[in-house]
Amino acid sequence: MTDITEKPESTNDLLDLAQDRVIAFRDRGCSYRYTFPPIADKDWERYFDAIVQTSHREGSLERKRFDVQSALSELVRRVVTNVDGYAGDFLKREDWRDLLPVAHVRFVSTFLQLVLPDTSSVRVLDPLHQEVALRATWTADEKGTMAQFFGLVHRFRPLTAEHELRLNRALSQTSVLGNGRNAKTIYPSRQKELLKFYDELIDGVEGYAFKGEPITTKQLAIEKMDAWHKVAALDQLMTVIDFGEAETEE
Amino acid sequence: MASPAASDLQSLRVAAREMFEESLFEDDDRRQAIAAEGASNGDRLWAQLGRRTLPEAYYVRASYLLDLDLMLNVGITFRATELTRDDYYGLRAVRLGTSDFQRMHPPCIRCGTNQKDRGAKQCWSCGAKFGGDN
Repeated sequence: MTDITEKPESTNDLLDLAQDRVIAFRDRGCSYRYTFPPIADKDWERYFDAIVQTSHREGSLERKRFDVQSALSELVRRVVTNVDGYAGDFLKREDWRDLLPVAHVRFVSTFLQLVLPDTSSVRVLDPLHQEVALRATWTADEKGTMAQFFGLVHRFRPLTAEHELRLNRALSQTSVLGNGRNAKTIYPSRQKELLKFYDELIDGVEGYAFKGEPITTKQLAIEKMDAWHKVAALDQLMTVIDFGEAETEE
Repeated sequence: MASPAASDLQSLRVAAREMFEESLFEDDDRRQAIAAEGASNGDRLWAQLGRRTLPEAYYVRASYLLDLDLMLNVGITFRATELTRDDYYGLRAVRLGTSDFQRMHPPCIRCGTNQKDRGAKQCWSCGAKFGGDN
C-alpha cells in the first residue's frame, strides 16, 4: 500500500519536529496524502486517555480487551489538516474529517505510531547516561515515499527507586466496575504515565531537529519532542529488548 | 461507577494471600491442568485459572504493594512524603494477607517450606515428621 525507504544517516537527515507530516499511500492504484501539523502533547494525552484496557472473567477464563484503534482513529480525524487525492469537493464541508474512509484513517493512524527500537544504533550502556535508540517512519517526500529515520537517540538520567515506585504505583491504579468475581477491571494508561517521566529524566537527544537546527538542549527536547516518541523511548528504557547469554572468553 | 481497587482493603488482603497460595500450589495446579487438557492446552489453562477468586484489579494492586513491601524490607528507604495514604493502608492489608497465608500454611520446622495442608503430619518437601501442631 505504501513505500518506505531508509534515510541515510547524515546531518542533513535529522527528523525535523517542526515540519508538517505527510502520510502518503496508494490504494487500488490511486495515491492519497494526509497532512498533519506537529501533534501537540494535549492531543496525544487525549488519545492516551481514550485507550481502553479492561479484563473480566468469563467462567474460568480471564478475557482481556485492549481497544486502541477507536482512540487512534479519533486522533487522526481530530488533528489532520488536509487530505489530497480524493474525488469531489467534500473538503468544503465542515464535517469533511468524519467522511474520510475508515480503512484509510486506520491505515494512516498506524504511521503516527510507527516508532521502533533501532538495534543498529545501539552503543554500550553507560548507567549514568542511559541511551535508547529508535527508528521512526515520519513523513513522505514529494514522490510519496515514506522515509524511515534511524539513530534517534534519547539519553536519560538514571532512574531512582523513587521513580520506579511512582511508576509502579501509577500502573497499579486499577479500578473495578461491577461486583463479584466477574467484575470488570479497568487498567490505567501506561502511555500517559510514561509521558510524565520523560521531562524529569531526559538528558539529551540525537537525530532530531527543530526548524532545521539540531536539537542540542534538554529544554528544547522537552518542549518540542513528539509525545509518542517520548513514550516509545521510555518504554524501551524499561524493556529488556535483547536478553542474550553473556559471551565468555575461553 | 468504577471504584479504585486501592480502597478495598479486605479484597487486597485476600488477593495477597491467594497470590502466595498460587505460588505454593503452582506445580500441583499445572500438573492437574496438563492431566486434564494435555500438555500445551494444560499450560494455558493453568495460566488462566490460577486460584484467583477476585477481579484482576486487586492482584495488580496487591502485586505493587508486595513489591513495595519487599523494597522496604531490603532496606530501600523512602521519605514519608513519597508514600501515599493508599500505600500505607495497602501495605497493612497485604501484610495481613501474608499473615493469613502463614497461618493457613505454616512453615516446616526443619526446612521452612510452607505446608499445603495446615494439618499435615509430614513435610511435603523434606519429609520431616510433625509431632503435634506444626
